[in-house]
Formats: sequence, structure tokens, C-alpha cells
Amino acid sequence: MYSFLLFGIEKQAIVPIDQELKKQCYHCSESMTFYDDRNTYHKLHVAFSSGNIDKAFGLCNELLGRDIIEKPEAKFWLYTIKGRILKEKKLYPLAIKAISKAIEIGNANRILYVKESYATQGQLYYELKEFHKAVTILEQWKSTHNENDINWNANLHNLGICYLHLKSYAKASENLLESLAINEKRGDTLNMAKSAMDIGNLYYEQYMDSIAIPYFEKGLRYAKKAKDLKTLQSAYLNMSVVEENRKQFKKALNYRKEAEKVKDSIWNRDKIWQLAEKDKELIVRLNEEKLVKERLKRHGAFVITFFSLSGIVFVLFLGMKLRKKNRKITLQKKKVDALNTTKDKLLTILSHDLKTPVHFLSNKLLSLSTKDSKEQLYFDKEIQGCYGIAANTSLLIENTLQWALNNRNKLLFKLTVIHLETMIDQVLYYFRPVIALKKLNLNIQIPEFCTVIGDNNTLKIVFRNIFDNAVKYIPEERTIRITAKEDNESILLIIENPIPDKKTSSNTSESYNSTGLGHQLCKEFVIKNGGVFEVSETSSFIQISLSLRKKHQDEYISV
Amino acid sequence: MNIFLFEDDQEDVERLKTTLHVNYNLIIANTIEDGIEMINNVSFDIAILDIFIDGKPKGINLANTINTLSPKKPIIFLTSSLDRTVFECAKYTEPSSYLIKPFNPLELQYAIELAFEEFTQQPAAFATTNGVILQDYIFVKSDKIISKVNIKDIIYVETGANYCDLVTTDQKYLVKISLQKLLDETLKPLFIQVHRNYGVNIDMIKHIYLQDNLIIMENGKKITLSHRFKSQILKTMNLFK
Repeated sequence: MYSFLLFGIEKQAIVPIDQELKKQCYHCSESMTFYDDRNTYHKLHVAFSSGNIDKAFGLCNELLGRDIIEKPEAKFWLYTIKGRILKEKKLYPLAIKAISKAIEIGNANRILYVKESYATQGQLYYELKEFHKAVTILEQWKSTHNENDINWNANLHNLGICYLHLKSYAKASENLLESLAINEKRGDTLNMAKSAMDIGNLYYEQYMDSIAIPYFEKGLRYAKKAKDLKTLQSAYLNMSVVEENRKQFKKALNYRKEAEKVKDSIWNRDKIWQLAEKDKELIVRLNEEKLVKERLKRHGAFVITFFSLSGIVFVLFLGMKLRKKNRKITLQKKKVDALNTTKDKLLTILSHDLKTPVHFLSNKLLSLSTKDSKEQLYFDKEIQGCYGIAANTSLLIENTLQWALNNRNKLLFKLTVIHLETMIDQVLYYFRPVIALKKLNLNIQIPEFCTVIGDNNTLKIVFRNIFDNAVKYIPEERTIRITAKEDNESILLIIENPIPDKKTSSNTSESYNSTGLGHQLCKEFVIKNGGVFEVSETSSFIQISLSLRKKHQDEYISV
Repeated sequence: MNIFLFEDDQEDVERLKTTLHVNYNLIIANTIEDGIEMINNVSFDIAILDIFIDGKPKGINLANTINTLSPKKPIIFLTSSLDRTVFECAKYTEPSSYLIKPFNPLELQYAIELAFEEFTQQPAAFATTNGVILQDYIFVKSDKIISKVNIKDIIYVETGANYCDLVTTDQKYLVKISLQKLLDETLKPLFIQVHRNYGVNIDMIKHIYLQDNLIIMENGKKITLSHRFKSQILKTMNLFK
């Protein structure tokens, strides 16, 4: 016939643990407990206190998973938090496990707060309806606490209820009365109402109706004051059950009606609440939809802007690349044009230079072959002339070949040791006929063991051009002087010859106009050989000096 | 001196023939087959090889064959090309010298000299001493021609101020090397010094007149035996007594 209602376990106030947790934080209290993980812990206890238990649970597990949490104190707090969270989530067996661990650590390390864990553990066992265990734990807690504790009345109440379930009425009444006294002392009408009704239940259970009924009435009074609808409804229901059992059906009906009213108002409140909630939800949803639309709009705008921007950049890039390419092409075209012009110029000069001597040569040969007079002297002279022209022309062609090869970087170039006198002898060999013809003197003053380092081929071309020039312009029966001077690093070779006085000389057929290619080649090749080429000219003398790298005693260069 | 020439262009062969001194003995091959056969059967002192035969660098192949000979011979490459790539190819056969067409007699002569100097690693030897020593021979430059002198054929050596005359039965060759150096480095143990100015080939001595301090050589040359060297000579001659 238990139609009355028992009040269940009361929640532990959360304030004390919040403060305790704050005390362990480095950021809030400069505690060193969680120094290594101070940031995570700070987040954890803030989340826990603000009711964000899911986040707190994650952080808590994260911290427990770290091996670095070696401090027992830290572990204690983490297990305590975990237990509390699991309790909130109604996962009681897991919560008991966590709290047990916290108690174990707490006892081993004499942590004061462990007492509170006993209370928590008690509540958990109560929830699991393991009243014996709950009682053991809560008695353990009671022995270490006094009434100044914030959770004192709640825990006492819990303890009493447990005894009630175990039908240990004496113990139950002791605890419940104590709880009521404390509640009265604190002026907590809601809890007073609850306590009073529990006590009423306690006596009613023992069929001590006369004691029980005043408590129920007291409870109803307090409940009316406390304005808690659920408690009020319970109080009315309790009263109706009591009156019904006293056969005072009218009273019972009145109480039941009151209870129904309260129920209605609860329902109304809930309904209004629900409506409001629904309204809120709707508004939120509308707002969200609006937001999504706006976001989409914004996104769309952004995407369009992005694409158009990248398009512009791409076009600009292409344009730049194109312009670059164009510039390159223009430059190359200019270069090619210049080269082509040079080539054309060179070919023109070359063919022009070749045209004259070859024409001259063919004319002479024709006149020789058709000449009736078999005068030996005449023939000799003509043949000498032909030889001169041929030699000259061959040098021109030789120069062109060398120049072309050098430009293509295909010219043979190999540094060797060169005996200067020998090389000059070799080159002068080509000019022997002309020297004899013009009755020229050679004054060669080169030290006997004068050796230079250079390329055989290019230096020969240099000397051939120099001597060709010298022999060409020197007046008859004069002297070409060739001298070599040594210093530490180089050998200076000077070739000088007189030239006809410009005022008196008339441009005779014996001097062919030069392309300047010879001179250009000389300069290039001497530089290539690591030397210096200089020409100085007075009105009556031309002097060419070239310095060449000297070969040192210990130097050995393979051919 | 024997020169092996590998050249198929008849005009170039003629030019080389006229350019080279008559004292040089030319051995000419104009196909690679002939060339290989000659290389193995004819003795020569230096090879002049045209790189391009029929437009192909057969001269380089032949040079490789010559390089397998023992003892090795100096090689001169002959070419009309100035293109570097050709020389890059030819380089690996380690030729002693290059000759570029067209060439004049002096250039040919110089190429031959250079080849000997390079081959024996006696740089500028012809310019400074007039001779290059190769195995049992001295190649002596005299009057712009190189002669191959067998050391065994030298009867005696006579020294002047800073040169020596190498005297053979029919010729006299001048080298700018001191008698002492020549005897110490090249002519030993075939020669002994008998006078401040003379070294003689022991095999070429005909008579020694000890009382008159006179040595008569195979060619009838009378050489004074000086006191300074007499005892030493007697020691060496002990065996012949």
C-alpha cells in the first residue's frame, strides 16, 4: 500500500568541488599540481564548472591518458572529476569505478577532499539501489564530517533514506530528523518540506499515523512556501493518500484535486515552456535558414570574385608571358638582322676582294698564254706577279676560314710550347719570294732559347698577317726589324717596318685594299693566347708589338 | 731515317716527297690494308698519317695499330681541317705532333722535330742540343735534316767549346752536349774517355801504342792518349793484353 512518494537522493551542491578544482589550477591559483598540463587542466575545470561536461570528459580522459601525470594528487582530482561526470551521465557503475580509484589514491596520500568522494560514492550506490553499500560509505563519511559542511544535510538525508529502504527505522529517523533540524536552521523551506514529508513517510511506514500526519502537514506548509510545484504536488498527493486511509474521502478528494491542479500547472508550465521552446526553435531555424541563404549568397559572391580575380591574374600572366616572349623575339630578331647584315657585308667584301685578284690573275694567265713573244724575262716577271696575287688571295681565304671557325668556337686551339724563332722562320718561308723580289732586308734579333706558350695555329695566322702587311707596304730595299725582349712574365715581340711617306705615295696596284679582317683576327687571336696586340703608326714607320706568355723553366706543356 | 707515310692523295704524296730531304727514306701506304701490313713488316722511325682517307678517319685507326707496336713510334697527324672536333677524336691516340695542310718545308721539318721531342719527352732538344736520344740511337739535326745515328757506328767523339762531334765512318754530327755528359748518360759502357777532348768507341779501336800514347781507330784516325786517362784505360784494357 505504498502509494506515497519517497523523495529520492538529493544532489550534492557543486560549489565546493568547483572551488577545490580552482585551487589546483596554475592559472587560477598558481598551484603546481598540474603545472605540466596547466592549459589543458584550466580548460577542463572551467568546462566542468560551466556544465559543459562532454568537453570536460574528453579533456579529463586526455589528461589521464598522458603518462606525465605522475603526481597522485593530480590523478586524484582527475578521477574525482571523471566520477562526477559519469554520475551526471547516469553511468553509475563506471562512476563508482572512477570514484573508488579516487578514494584509493586519496586515502593513500591523505588528501582531505577524499571525504566528499565518500558522499558521492554513497549517492552512486543509492542510485544502484545497493543500499547496504551506500549506508557503509555514507556512515564512513558521516564519521569524518560535521554539520558545517555544505552537503551535510543532503548527505544526512540520503543516509536516512537508505536506512528507510533497509527498514532500519531508528537510524532512518535519527538521520532524517537531524537533516530536518539543519534545514530548519538554515531556513531552507524546500528541503524542509522534503525532509518533513520523508519523516512523515518514515512514521507512516511504521503505522505511527499520529506522528506521521503532522509531518505531512508540515511538509505541505513548507511546500506551499517553497513554491516548488513538484514538491507541492507530492505534498498534496501524500496528504490525499493519508486522508484516504483515514477514510476522510472528501478531504482526500480535495487534496487530490489540489494535486491535479498542481499537476495541471506543472503541465501548463511545461506546455508553455514547450511552446516557448518550439517557438524559439522555429525562430532559430528561420534565422539559420536566413543565415545559410546569406552565407550562400556571400559564398557565391566570394566564389565569383575569386574566379574572376584568378581569371584576371591568369590573363595578366599570359599577357606578361606573351609580352616577354615578344620582347625576346624582337631582341632575337634584331640580333639575327644584325648578324645577317654583318654576314652580307662580309660576303660582299669577300667576293669583292676575291673578284679583283682572281680577275687580275685570269687576265695575266690569258695574256701569258696568248703572248707570242717568248721572252724569258717577261714570263718570269708575270709569273712572279701571279704568285703574289695567289699568295695574297690564299691568305684572305685562310683568314676567313679561321674567323668563321673561331666564331663557331670550333677552331683548333691547343696551348703548346713554341720556339719563337723557329715559328717566325716557318712563317717567313712563305714570304721568301716577295722578300727576294723587293730586295728587302730582314733584321731578326730573337734570343736563341726564347720560348712562349701559345697555340701554334692561331699564332701562325697572326704572324702571317703581320708579315703580309709589312711586306706589302714596305718600300723596296728597306729593312724589316723583328726583335724579341724577355721579362719575367712575358716576351715582347716587336715588328717594325718603314712605310712610304703618305704624301708622296700614290695608291699603286701592288697594295690591295684590305678588309680589316686580318687586323681583327690578329687582335682576337693574340688575346686568346693571353697576350696584348698593339699597333702604332707614324708617318714613316709602322710598329706592331705583341706580348706573349713566356714559358718558364719548370713548366711542361704536352702537345 | 725511315718515315712511314699514310696518304692517298697523290698530289700530297708528291709534295711531301719533294719537301722532305732526300736523305729521308719514305715508305708510303695509300690504303689501310697496305698500311697495317707495312707497319708490321717494315722498320720505320716515325709515322706521318693523314687523318682522312676517303672521307673517313682511317688515319686514327692506323694510329691505334701503331700504338700496339713495341717499341712505340712517334706519330704525326696530317690534316687540312682546322675543326676542333677532328682533333678531339685524334687526341686519344696520343699523337706526338700535328701537321696542317698546306705546309711549307720548315713546318714539316718542325713537325718531325717536335714529334721526336715530344715522344722522348725531351722538350726543345733539337733547338738546345741538336739531338734527341732514343734507345740505341741519337737523332741529330744537321743542316735542317734529322739523321739517325746508331751509337755503335760512332767511332769517336771529339769535343770543342760547348759541343761534340760524333764521328762515324762517313759523317760528322754536331751535338751541343758536353763530352762528359754524353759519355756518362748516353755512350757508356761502349765508350771510354782517352783525352780531355776525346772519347772513343772501344770496339772501334784498331791499335794502341802505349809508348807513343797513341790510339789508332778503325778509320785510321790517330788520337792522343793522355796521361790522365792512361791508367784507367789500362785497367779497362787489361783483358785484351
